[in-house]
Amino acid sequence: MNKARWTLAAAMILACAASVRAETVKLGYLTDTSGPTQDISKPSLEGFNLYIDRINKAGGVNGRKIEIDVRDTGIDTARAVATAQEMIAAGAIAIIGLPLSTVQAGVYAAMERNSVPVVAGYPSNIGLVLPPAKPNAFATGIVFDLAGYIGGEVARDATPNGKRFVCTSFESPGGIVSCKGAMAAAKAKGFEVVESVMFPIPTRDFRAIAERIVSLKPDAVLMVLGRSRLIAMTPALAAAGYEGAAISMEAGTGDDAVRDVAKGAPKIDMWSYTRFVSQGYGEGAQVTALAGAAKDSGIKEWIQVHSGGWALGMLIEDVVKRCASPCTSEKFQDALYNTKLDTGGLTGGPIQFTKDDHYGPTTYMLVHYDRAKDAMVPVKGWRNYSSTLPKF
Amino acid sequence: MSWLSNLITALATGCIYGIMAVGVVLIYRTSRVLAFHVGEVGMLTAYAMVSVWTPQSGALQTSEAILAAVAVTLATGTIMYVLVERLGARFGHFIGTVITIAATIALNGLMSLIWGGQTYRLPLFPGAVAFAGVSLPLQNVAVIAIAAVTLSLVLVLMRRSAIGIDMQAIACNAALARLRGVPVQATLCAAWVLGSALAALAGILIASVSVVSIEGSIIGVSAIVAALIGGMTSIPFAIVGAFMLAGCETLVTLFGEPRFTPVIPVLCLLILLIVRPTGLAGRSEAISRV
Repeated sequence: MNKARWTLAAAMILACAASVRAETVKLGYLTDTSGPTQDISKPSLEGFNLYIDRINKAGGVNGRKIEIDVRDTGIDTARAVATAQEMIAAGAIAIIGLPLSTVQAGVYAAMERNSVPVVAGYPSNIGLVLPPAKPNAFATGIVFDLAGYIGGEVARDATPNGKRFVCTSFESPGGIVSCKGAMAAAKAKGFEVVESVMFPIPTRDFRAIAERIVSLKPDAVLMVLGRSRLIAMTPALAAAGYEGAAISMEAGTGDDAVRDVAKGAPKIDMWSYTRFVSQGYGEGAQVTALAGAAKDSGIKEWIQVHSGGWALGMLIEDVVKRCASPCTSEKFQDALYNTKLDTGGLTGGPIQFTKDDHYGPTTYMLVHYDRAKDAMVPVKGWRNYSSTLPKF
Repeated sequence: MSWLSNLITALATGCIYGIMAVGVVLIYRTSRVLAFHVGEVGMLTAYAMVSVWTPQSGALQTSEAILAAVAVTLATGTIMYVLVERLGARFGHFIGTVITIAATIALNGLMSLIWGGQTYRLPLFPGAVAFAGVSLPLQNVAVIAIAAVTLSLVLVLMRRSAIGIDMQAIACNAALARLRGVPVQATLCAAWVLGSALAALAGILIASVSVVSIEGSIIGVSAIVAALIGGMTSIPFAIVGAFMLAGCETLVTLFGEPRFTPVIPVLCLLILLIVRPTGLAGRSEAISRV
């Protein structure tokens, strides 16, 4: 009899141990570490990993470790979809990361069929997350439709008397909707002539395109370019004789790149606008924590994409906390529907999701390159924007 | 926007395409291999240079940067020659072209591994020069000057030097050239290194007017198309092809729809195939059958 009791007790202990092991929450992270957007995808993943490592080292979320399966997909949509399916087959309950709008739409659609939530982090998303949102599509980064519209509005601050506005971007879904929104907003803000100059994705020689932009005689140029194209385009604009305001949408560009190109183009008035803070401005508990973690891991200068990655990590921790054990895709998605996360200074307001709105109200800050200080200086602080776009 | 400034931009672009296209022609004429990897060689060299050189660099660092570029050129040219000749001798001409395609993938991976996909500026010729009341970017003027000297030297080398004449002999009939005592292997190796050197120079020049980035290696496609327009066998016509292509691209960007520029090379090839299938040079070559 005693022997049977001992056997039963041992079996129960083993079962408990097994259930503790099963408490690991597994997520799939799609990124680009080999393709053309790796320069912005890597810092984003770096920021995310810094946060998740910190959580796991502290014992996880309510005792549950977060396991991240990171896979490189370049910016190949078919590969991203196939990889996401592999990851959910291997036990991932949600897909996160997704570096470029080109890939995101395909993954959202494929995962919707599998009832798996997708949370796109930094830097970009297309408007599937704005109300009325797709059931499984969430985003913490920038949404191009909205960010483009905001770009058209802040152009008025950069050029109070400007009459002509040009938006330039490359032919990705995000670039196209950004410029569409930007032109509508610029028109509403009183610019008399609004135009867009779009170019093919592989373009890196911008001399002729810059000449074309300058021929339109703009007072303000909105650049929806990302890091590598901004580094190439700004000197070309300067060489073509542009002397107006250039406003860079912070879409993985980084303040370090904006400062660098501004120094090489002394006649261009350089601006940027951002959803996340960068090293040099912003304050709060999480800003301090990120700064410390970045310093400890040897990051020379942390930029907005690091903040975005860190904020995505915070969101995952918050959602897992509210996801009852065992945390399934369905429960994870339900937890996402009721999110209100204070980012501790990384953004101007909380990250908020509801059943219909998977992006929430957002805040943006306009920053200006101060030549005397060689620094990006915030102008007027955070501005609030609704996630409901005007029709354009 | 002044017409002179636009003309200089188009000419500079044509010069860069032309330098790389001449490299493609040299390799093709001597080895019968279509060098798909030239764009990658160009960007690899630019990356090597930018790793050493900064706008604040003195003479010593500039010399080091040039040495780094030369080292990459020699290494890629020699390695490609060895691979193509060794494997090509066993499996035929087509394997050589396959090797160059494999090299594009390998070199892209190498650049990604070493430089992590970062983009750098290489402002070798900053500033502007005034001409006829127009401010012209010095970078464009410098590119045209460098291209004029380089292409003239190549033409002189091909027509006046022993090694150039040997290359032409091999291009006409490799077996006969060997019988006449031409050092075929050494000459072929020299052609591959020279082709690499031209690709490297074009890569550095395109990086100096744009940026150093992995995607910049797409210039190789334009160079190959320019060489094809020229007929693959003629250096002067490859240069003409390069200027035609650059002119069309610039015109479409300035006065048409910039989004359509990737179509230009395809359109040029299509028109060429209809109007003059043998290319501008008009020389047709016998295709060996297996």
